Amino acid sequence: MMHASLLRAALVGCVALVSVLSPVSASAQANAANPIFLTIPESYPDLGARVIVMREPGREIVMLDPAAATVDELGAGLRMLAKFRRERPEPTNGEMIPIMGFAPAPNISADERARLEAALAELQRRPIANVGNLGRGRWMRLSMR
Amino acid sequence: MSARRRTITLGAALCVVVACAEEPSTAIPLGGGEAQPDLDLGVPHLSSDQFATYETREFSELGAPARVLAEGEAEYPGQEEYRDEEDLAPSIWNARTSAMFVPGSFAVWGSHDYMANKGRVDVTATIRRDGTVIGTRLGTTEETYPFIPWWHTITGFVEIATDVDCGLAGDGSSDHAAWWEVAPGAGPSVYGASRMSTSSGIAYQRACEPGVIPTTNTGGGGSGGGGTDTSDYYCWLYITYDLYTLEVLDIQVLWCGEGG
Repeated sequence: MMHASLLRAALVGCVALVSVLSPVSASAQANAANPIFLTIPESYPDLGARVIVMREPGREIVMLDPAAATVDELGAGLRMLAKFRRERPEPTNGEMIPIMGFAPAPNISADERARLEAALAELQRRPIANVGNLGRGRWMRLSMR
Repeated sequence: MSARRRTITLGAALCVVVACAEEPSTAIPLGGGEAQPDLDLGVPHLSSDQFATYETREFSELGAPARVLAEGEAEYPGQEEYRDEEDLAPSIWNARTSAMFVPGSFAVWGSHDYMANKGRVDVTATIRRDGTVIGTRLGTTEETYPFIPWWHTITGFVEIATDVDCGLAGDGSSDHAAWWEVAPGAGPSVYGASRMSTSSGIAYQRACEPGVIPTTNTGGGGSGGGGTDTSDYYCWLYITYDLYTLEVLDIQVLWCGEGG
């Protein structure tokens, strides 16, 4: 009985400690923790968009045009994704955000540019697979580090 | 060690382990030669035509059916007396395109007067940032009148929403058309078409001041706020769809604003 109550108290303290040490609030973390997938489908949707951002409950996707998959497009997609994360709630349905154009190129720091270039290079090295109903293409999960 | 102390030690150790644990890596490791799995993704079928507006207006339905002459050419009762007269040559005048920024949007109007029973104006609105086109929207308006020689005025309108009040430029263009159609919608009975194009001048928002963030916020799909003279601006569409059927539920008009 004594052991059980002590263990319960320890667990409560543990939960409190984890909450305090947590760097961001739980709600913000839920959104920010959504995995981001990058994809370059061979059949890019013919919408005239330079990059397409898609949001679904629990995950987000940045889709690049194989004819123009550059760091600027990737940076623009991630910039707009961050904007929608900040300004809109977690989606309960599908959201598709074709970015029709942007200027100037997103202001990306040298470190961030190097990170995006590495991610893009890794994406382009990925083997061809099926990208849902778009057919063949490449995809990867973006590392948040 | 007493059982009580062991319990406390165990709890503290568990606590430290949980508190200090790193979040799991989000990268999917791919070993050499490992097959890439498929990505489960459903993208709604859309075409850029769906982003353009198309408005048709029909005035005073014709009461009597058209009489078919030959090879699909039809004649409306009473038409004979006008058939070879010069009055029936369709004409366009007062064609113009106007463009301006108004609070919350960039608006373009295309209009012309015409002598015919069919009129159409295709209006294009274009938004630029530092001379680079970042957004374009098309709109078509088409009118049908009875086959009677009379003049009409047609106006088409296209709007691009924006929540910034500095740093953008925009311009518009229109393709104007007028023609006679004996029995509208009844096949190839069209003759004598007139066409012309007009463009607006470039409309400018005020220049952004360095480091000053404008405050215009019109709500809707945008973010609020605005840009500085070095901000990156974007134009985007916002589409919602059913995750399971991929049915498009809503398409918001083209929106231009700061990346944030």
